[in-house]
Amino acid sequence: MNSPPRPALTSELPLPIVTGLTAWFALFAWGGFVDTSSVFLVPALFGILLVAAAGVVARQVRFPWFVVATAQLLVIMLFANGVWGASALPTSASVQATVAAFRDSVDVLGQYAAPVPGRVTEVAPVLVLGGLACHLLVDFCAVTLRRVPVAGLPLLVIYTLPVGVLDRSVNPIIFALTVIGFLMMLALQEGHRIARWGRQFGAPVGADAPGPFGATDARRHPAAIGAVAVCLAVLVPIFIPTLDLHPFRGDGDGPGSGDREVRITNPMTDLRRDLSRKADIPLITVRTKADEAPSYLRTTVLTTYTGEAWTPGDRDLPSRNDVSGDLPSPIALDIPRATERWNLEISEDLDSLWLPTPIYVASISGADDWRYDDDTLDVHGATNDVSTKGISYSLQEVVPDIGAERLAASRPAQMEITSKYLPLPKNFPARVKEITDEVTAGAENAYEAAAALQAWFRSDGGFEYTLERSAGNGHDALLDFLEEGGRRGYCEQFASAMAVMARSAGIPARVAVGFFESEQVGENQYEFSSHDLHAWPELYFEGTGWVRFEPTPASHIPPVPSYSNESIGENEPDPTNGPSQSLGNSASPGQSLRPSPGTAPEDDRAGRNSDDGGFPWVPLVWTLAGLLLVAVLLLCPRAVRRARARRRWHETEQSVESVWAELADSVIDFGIPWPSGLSPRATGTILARSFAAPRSADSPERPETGLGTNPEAMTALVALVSSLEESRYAPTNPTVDRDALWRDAKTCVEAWRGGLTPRARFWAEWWPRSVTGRQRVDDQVSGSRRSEDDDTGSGDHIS
Amino acid sequence: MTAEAPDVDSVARVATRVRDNINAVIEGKDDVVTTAVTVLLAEGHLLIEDIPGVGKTMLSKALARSIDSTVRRIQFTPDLLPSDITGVSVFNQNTREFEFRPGGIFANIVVGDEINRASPKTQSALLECMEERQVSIDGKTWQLEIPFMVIATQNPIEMEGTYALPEAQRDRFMARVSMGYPVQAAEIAMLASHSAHNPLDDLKPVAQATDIREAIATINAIHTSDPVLRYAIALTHATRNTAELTLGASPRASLHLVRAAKAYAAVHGRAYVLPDDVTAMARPVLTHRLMPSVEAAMSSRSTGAILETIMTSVPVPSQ
Repeated sequence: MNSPPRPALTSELPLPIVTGLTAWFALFAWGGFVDTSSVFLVPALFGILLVAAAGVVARQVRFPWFVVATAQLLVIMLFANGVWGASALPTSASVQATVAAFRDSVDVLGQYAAPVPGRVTEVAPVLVLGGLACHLLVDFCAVTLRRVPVAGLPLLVIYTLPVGVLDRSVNPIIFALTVIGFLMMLALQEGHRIARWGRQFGAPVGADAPGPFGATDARRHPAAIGAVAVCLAVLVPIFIPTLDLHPFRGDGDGPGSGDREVRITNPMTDLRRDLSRKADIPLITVRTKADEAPSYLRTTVLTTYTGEAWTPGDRDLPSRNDVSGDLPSPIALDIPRATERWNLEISEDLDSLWLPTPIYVASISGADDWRYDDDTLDVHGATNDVSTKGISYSLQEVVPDIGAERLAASRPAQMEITSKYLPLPKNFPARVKEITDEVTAGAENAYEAAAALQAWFRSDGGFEYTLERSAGNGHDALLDFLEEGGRRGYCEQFASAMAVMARSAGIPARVAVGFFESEQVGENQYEFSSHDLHAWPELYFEGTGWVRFEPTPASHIPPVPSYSNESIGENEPDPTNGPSQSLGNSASPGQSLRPSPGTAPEDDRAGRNSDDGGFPWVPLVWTLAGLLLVAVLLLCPRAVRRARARRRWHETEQSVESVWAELADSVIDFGIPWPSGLSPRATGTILARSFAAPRSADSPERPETGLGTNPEAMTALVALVSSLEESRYAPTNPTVDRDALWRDAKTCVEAWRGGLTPRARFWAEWWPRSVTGRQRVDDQVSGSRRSEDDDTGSGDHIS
Repeated sequence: MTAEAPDVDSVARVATRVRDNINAVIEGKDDVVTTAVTVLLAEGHLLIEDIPGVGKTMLSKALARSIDSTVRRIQFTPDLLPSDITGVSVFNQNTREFEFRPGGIFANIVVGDEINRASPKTQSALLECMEERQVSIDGKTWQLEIPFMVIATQNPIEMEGTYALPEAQRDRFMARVSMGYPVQAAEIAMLASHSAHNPLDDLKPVAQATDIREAIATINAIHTSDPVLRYAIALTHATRNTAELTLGASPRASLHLVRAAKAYAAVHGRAYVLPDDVTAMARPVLTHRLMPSVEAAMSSRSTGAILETIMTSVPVPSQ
């Protein structure tokens, strides 16, 4: 037949297998995410084998690349459905279970600091599916598209993900295994190409007969080239001292490296990790002559609650707010205040994007590369390259005297504050709002509500401080944390829960991250260490500004618990005493302090209920719509082809040409190569070789083709060619009998169709190559190419 | 071009008669015979180049005899003089005037055997007559008859003591053909028929000179569409722009190619030229005019093979 012979299955197997194993080896790098990596590695291996097998089968049938990729994607979905939905075929229940498993997995990843403990097996789906997706990409590049070098990119993604997220190096053995696999892929695939570069002199012609790997010199080259490149890439940086790049350096060999460094880029995750760290590393030294030891030190503020976590939100870096000189007052001007001078020295071990400062600062000096944000009151590096490592600076702290009465009397906040610090995500759990309402039931105003919340967290609610149960701060974690029985957590949960509840009670709130409680290390000298990392909520009161609250239970402030009480009592509304003092006070303003947040949660409750109420209609509809779209897209080529044929049928002028074009399209559809650039007669001569007897019931599967098989079609083709020649080359346009022409064309098309295998007929019908392929009848375009542009050069040849 | 359709059928009939006549003498060489007849009708000259004994002279004689016209045969030798070809003025004692004695060229069909054995001077005399279709001697010009066709044979081996035609002069021949060895069956048939008597003796003329003249006139009126012209030009241009050739086809080659294609179309009973006609005539018309580059010559690429490559690379315009 016309199509090239199908490659043998055995020769097609090694590359997908090696590719799959390489991707799997690379997945070992994700071991750092969990304690027991077999949780995801074992299912991933099965999944990878399934995907690879699906790819092999789909390519064997010679589907186009996107069908292969889609088939593999479907296999991944079916695999997920089989594993987590516990059903071979997708049913509504199994799909639901799978989606739920995946969602749980995402939540778990959000809740636990890496590595996730081994008993928490819910984490697997994200890692397995992520790994399978990466493998699909690798397989797609390397095997389906035969572009192995490109496949290095998804492999690199797998490999670098833990480096980026966990900020730690990956085991060199995993690297080596991945590299070896990748080199084998290169050898398998690119060996063919490189072998074509040339043959050694003196080598016999058949010497480069294919072997599995590197059987010949030509095959060994790609692997050798790749190996040398890898070695150079690994070794050269080690010998160039200025690069400061040590890919495989282990832990704790000097300052600024490995586990000792405290890095603050993503405040919450970093906080979680650093608090659970074993070693307590001194980070900041403060010298001040103030009477009180420095207590709270902020690095940054998380302003946005996404439903998954508190994040710094989208902030425009204030490019002009230099920190030099006096800063705008961080708090209402009419509040009586004192100032204290601080000299701060940051150790080499703290790498933060934000400059640690007290909440209220009057001026900062000695930090030229930093910018002050007068909204969040924190100080960010002017560029992302700026780091706090080893810098020292001084500042004027403002110590305001804020009274509880002042806060209780505050008016509702202005729009610019509420619009930014009140929003809660759409699917905010209604239950949280209910709890908030219960807790703040007796509160008359915002301040009382805030104080009630604080008291509830610190003492009344029976919360327990523990670092062990690292519940995140997403919705489910939040609910879990607030409900009876789950009230255990550390500062992150307390801070974010209180901020969220304050927002739901209509008080603008955000979460500050920083340090709490220094340790005196000398005269007027104090030190913050990595175990002092802390988070707390800040609430906004109109007419005052942002005010710090402390929901973390008193039990946790053990080193000097009395100090904590004093400190809060003097500068802040006292969390324990405040509410009792003011509870009996005012009557009405409390209502007005809660502008309108009640409606949103109510709506959300409805939405959430419908979400929970059984069948997942929305994803199903989307899936169906997607499938429909795919089906429509798949049917498009056939429709286009039919429309084209119809249009040609209705064309009255140039009817010979349109019949000929239709003939050409049919031939291309049938997978018979259309000889372009030939005269009609020569074209006809070539095409007549593909004629066969028209199909009938007893036609064989692979019919005989050839010149003598269908004399009728031969006559028709000769007639067509003559008509075309006459219309193209004769001086007068011939009178054509359209019906006869189309009849002849039909005879020819049937003769060609008769020579096709059933599969070729199927593809010709449903996936016509004249529409989907690249071959067009383009002999019109190239005719005058040479004659036009080469007129000038001919003289040289004659002389 | 005349508006009314040219009477190609009569051309085809004449051509078929002549071809059949020659085919009776030369077995199994229909394509060469067709080319020869086409060249005759296209007012061209034919160069037959092949090894001895394959029927070069037989072909030229058969063609000459098939037409009822004057035929001269000139055997070219090193001592042949130009005047032997063109003719000479001799002094007539009786009339006391110079009178012209026409040479071998004054005929409808001139068969020049082993043209490469003559001196260049003689060769150029012949070639001048071929191009001009006239003879000028002593200030007087003598027109040659129509049809006028020179069929020259040339022997590519045994080149010692010969003067191979330079490229510029080969260009004057419309086409060059090679006979090639006959296939086995044809050779057996030839042995059977030639052993008893010379088949040329039985050959009777099947066309009059006037038939040929009419055919030539008809062929001049054959329609050549624009795409076909462009295709012919694309072919000749392609020969000029390939690195494998130091000398490509001349404009005269383009002219000859189109004229030959027209004759070929008429011979096949068509009043218009197809690209296939151009393709069919391109090999005999172009090959002998091309000169391979040093690289091509060193890699033993024949001009024929180079031309084949060029022809596959030039697409046929359809519009």
